[in-house]
This record gives sequence, structure tokens and C-alpha cells, in this order.
Amino acid sequence: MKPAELREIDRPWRIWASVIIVSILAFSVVFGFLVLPIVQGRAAGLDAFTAICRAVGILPGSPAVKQPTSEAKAQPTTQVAWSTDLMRTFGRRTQAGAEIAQGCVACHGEHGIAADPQNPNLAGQSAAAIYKQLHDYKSGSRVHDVMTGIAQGLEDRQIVEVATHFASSARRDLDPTTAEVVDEDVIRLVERGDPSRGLPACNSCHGFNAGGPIETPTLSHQNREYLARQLQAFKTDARRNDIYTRMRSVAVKLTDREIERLATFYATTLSY
Amino acid sequence: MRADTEQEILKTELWWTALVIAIVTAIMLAIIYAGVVHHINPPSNIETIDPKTLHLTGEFTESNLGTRVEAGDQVTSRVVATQFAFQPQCIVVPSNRTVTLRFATPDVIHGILVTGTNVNTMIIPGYVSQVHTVFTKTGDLLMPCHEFCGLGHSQMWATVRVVPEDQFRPGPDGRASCDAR
Amino acid sequence: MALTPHPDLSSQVPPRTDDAIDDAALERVMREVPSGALALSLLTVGLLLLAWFLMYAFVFLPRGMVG
Repeated sequence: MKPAELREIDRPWRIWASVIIVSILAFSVVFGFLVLPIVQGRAAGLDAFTAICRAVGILPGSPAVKQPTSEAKAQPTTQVAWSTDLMRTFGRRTQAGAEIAQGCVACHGEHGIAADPQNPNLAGQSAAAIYKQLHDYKSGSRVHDVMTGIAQGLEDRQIVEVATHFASSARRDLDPTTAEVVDEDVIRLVERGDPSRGLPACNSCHGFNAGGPIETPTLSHQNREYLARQLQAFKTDARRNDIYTRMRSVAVKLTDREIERLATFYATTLSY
Repeated sequence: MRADTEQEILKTELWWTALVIAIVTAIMLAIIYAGVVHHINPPSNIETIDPKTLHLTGEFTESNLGTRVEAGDQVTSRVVATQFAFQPQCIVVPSNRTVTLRFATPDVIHGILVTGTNVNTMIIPGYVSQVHTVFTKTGDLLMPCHEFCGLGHSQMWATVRVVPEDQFRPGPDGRASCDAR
Repeated sequence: MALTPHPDLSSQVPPRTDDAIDDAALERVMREVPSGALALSLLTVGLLLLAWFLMYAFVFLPRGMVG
């Protein structure tokens, strides 16, 4: 048998297979995009055109149910909105940043390492974290007797410069001989969290290269008193500039004892 | 049945093709029945929202999240999925009433399902995911994140509290929360 | 129209002369094989379909409207 003859045998099969596939497609389009939305839309009080547009995906919403609307006004926890343009500005350390940082020396130390443990160390902190907190002080999302006034005196560009300056400073050195005894419960909380309480591991955001929200600060090498005070502030709702209660929802589930131990852990541990 | 000639083999193949077509048709008819009679659709909603400014928009601002009874007695619950928690972590909804669940995320791809129900959707940055449903069983239903979203994924879950309709009492502003009940 | 054995296939497989099974025995086996295969495939596909319909009727539909 020649190939031409074989093709002749296949011909009706090819034609019928094509006809079947095209008719299934046509049926699906007519049924899914026209019949079903019209039938369902009538029950929901929608006109046929809206129902079809919703089924096709031109209009938002389901063809079977009324679409809710919202007139809610924004009451944002922070005014900071991360964009690639903003992230790109955290680039190089500038002289201007170093000059602005001179104003921070009294509380945050000469090299960004605070003498009073009530104040945070800034050296080696992520630029995005410092930027967000300064921006929040400026916009009133976070309130502090001293910092609010200082931040309001800074322009956006200066906030970026000073944040970049501290981010590139060397971290506080830790004396390994003073490291605390390893606290198994706290390490479990840091590394695994507590699923029964819906507590994510601290490491899932604060760990090195964890991939959580951009503004997540580094916690290791921070001052114990400062960390404990901030966790308490989140827990009692005194501080509420965390987007979508990411920290408030965590802190409210922690006991006071756990807060103390976590603060000690991060202040004295070399890694993380 | 024989398989020693080409004709016999072809006959068997055609027979089997007919059977497979019948099976696929039966399944399709069942799906069409569900669509027409029970109004069961795959939840699809093409509605975009900027994830960078989600917390600055009106609808998904922190104070507007949770359950709210809106115009026309429509019950809508808005939830934000963020690394690594839902906000709010508990939503209260009435049973035997159409409830609209609206989800958005400011960060990465999440997903939800509500145990024991047909509610199941992805939550994709840039889009509002929306599911309409009627909860028939009362009680606390688990709503875990079912799409790996990062290191804290396994601790990310929320509760859907389905209460009998007469016990669902929203406040004067139309809002209902798990604490206030 | 009547079909003849595929020419390409028969030319590709040369008849094996060293085979211990003679053609008549092969023919006998080939007559019985498909019914067993057919029974197996009907059973597996049938069970799969049954499982689908049971899930659909007793789990999916009672859970109610979604859309």
C-alpha cells in the first residue's frame, strides 16, 4: 500500500476528529460563557450582559452572586509603600548620611551602638527597617517623645541617606564568653514557632535571608531591654505601625516570660 | 473477542473509545448539573489591586478587615493573607446565608481552603480572590494556608467561626468579630 | 473497506525462525488475551469512575454552593 492510499484511509478519521473537537469547544464556549451566566445571573438579579462579562472575566465578580462594594476609607498603619524605585535608593553610603548620623550620636552611640540599652543599636541594621521606622515617626504612625521631633525634621532623601549609613556600619561585637546558656524552649520558638498557637518561627522572617517582609529588622546584636520593651509595646497595642498586625498578632500570644527570654536570646546570640 | 486480525483489534479500540467518550460525557453532565442547579462555579474573579499599596487602599486597610453586613444584607468577609498570618485570624460568619469571602495579599502567593467545605482558592499578589458560599455546618472551621509561602507557612492558619443565623449579631456599624460575640 | 496488516510493521519485524513457540500456539494465546486485559481495564476504570461519582454525590454536592 502506498502512503497516498494510507492517507486516504485516514482522511475520514481526521475530518471527524476535527469536527468533534471543534464542536466540543463551541459547545463549551456557548454553554460556559453564554447559557450558564445568563441562567445564573437571572437568579442573582443581573442583566445578561453583566453576567456574560463576569463569566468571560471582563468584569470582576461571579455571574451567580451580587458583587460587594466598599466605601471604606484608608486608615493605614504606615504610609510606607515599598517600590523597586525606593529599594534602589538604599545603595551607597554617602557623606551626607554620615553628617546626618552625627545627630544620632547622643542616644545611638558614635558608631550606631547605643550606650544605654533602652535605645536600639543601629549599626548593621537593615536600611529598609531604619527607613520605615523613621518614616513612621515622621508620619505619626509610630510615636516617641524624642524620635517624632527628629524624624519630622528630616526630608525623605535624608532618611534614605542616614538609613543607608547605619546599614553599612559594623555591628556590635559580642563577647562569646558572656553568651547565655542555651535555652532550648526559646530556640524551639525561634526556629520552629508554635503551630498550636499559630505562632510562626521568629526565624521565618527575622532569620538571615529568610525572605519575609522587606522591612523586617535584624534582631541579633540588638539590646535586650529595647527588644523586650518593643515586644511588650506590640503586645499591649501601644505600638501599632506593623503592617497587618504582623508583630502585634505574634506578641499578643507570647507570655511575659517568653518575651524576656527571647530578648535575652537575641541580645546574646552571635548568629541568627 | 479476538485479537488475531487487524479488524478485530480495530473493533475493540472503537468500542473502548466509545466507552471513554461516554464516561467523559457523564462527568461533564454532572458538572453542568452542578452549575445550573446548585450554582457551583469554579471561583474565578479577575479584579486587580496593587499589592505595594494594599494597606493604603480603603478596602483592605487594617480596620476594614473581618466580617461586615453591607447594603442589601450581603455578608462580606475581608481577609489579608500576609507572611505568616491571616488578618484577622478569626472571622465569624452566619450559617445558611450567602457569604462572600474576599482575600488579598501584599507579599507572596498564598492559598486557603476551609475544611469541610468547597471553599478553596489561591491568593495571588495583584488580585482580589473572591469566593461566594453558604456555610451549612456550624462550629469552628480551620482555614490553613495551603500554598507554600515561606518559612512560616506551616504556622499560618485562621479560624472560620460559623454561628447559627439567630446568633449572628453584627454591631451597629454592621461589623461582627470573633471577640465581640 | 477491508484492512490488511500494516505493511510497515510486518516488514520491520522479520519472522523469527529460532522461536520455540510455533505459530498455532501463538494464535491460540492471542485469542484469549484481550478478554482478560479488557476485564482488568473495565474494572480499574469502573472503580475510578465509581470513586469519582461517590465523592461528587456524597461529598462535593452536599457541601453546597461555591462560586
